[in-house]
Amino acid sequence: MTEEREHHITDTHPGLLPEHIGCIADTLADPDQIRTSFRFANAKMFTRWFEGLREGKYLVVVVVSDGFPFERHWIITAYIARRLASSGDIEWTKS
Amino acid sequence: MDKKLTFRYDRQGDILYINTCPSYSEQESEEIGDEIVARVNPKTGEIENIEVLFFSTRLFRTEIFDLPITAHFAHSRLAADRTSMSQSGKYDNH
Repeated sequence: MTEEREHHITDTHPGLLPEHIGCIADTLADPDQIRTSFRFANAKMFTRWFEGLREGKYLVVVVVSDGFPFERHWIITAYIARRLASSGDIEWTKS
Repeated sequence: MDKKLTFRYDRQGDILYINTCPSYSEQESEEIGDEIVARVNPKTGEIENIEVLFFSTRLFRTEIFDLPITAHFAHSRLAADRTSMSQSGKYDNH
């Protein structure tokens, strides 16, 4: 995650960083579900439920992948959610 | 009292923020559909911030960009004038 995005998430989703940076890493490494955005095909939403996160919440990390001029995958935002909507195509679910 | 709306566009992330107040850590967040996230007052349940992901991709489509929320617009100066006229009695005959 870039420093700029870290500041951005801290500003727009206070309470997430830096306390729960480990949850962001765990969500990307071992998600419960990955959705592909309806709106932007290069974006994926990694989601995982954490029992101990604010008495049980989802963490969603939105990652955009670029192929040009070089390949990179970067976090645009992340948020703690008490409820998910049926946004995006479910690409993968943990069995 | 009604709160003013402020808009902020995050160009790097292509996210539009519509705010009635700054975000604070006690708020609850939830996805409200169409890749839009709402931040909600934990006591009142009122939506205080809206986060529209992939905002620019919506502008180039022909369909109406529709937020899944309802709104009531009131001009802050006109509302203040109206209150002032009402208090001075100028508005009573209408």
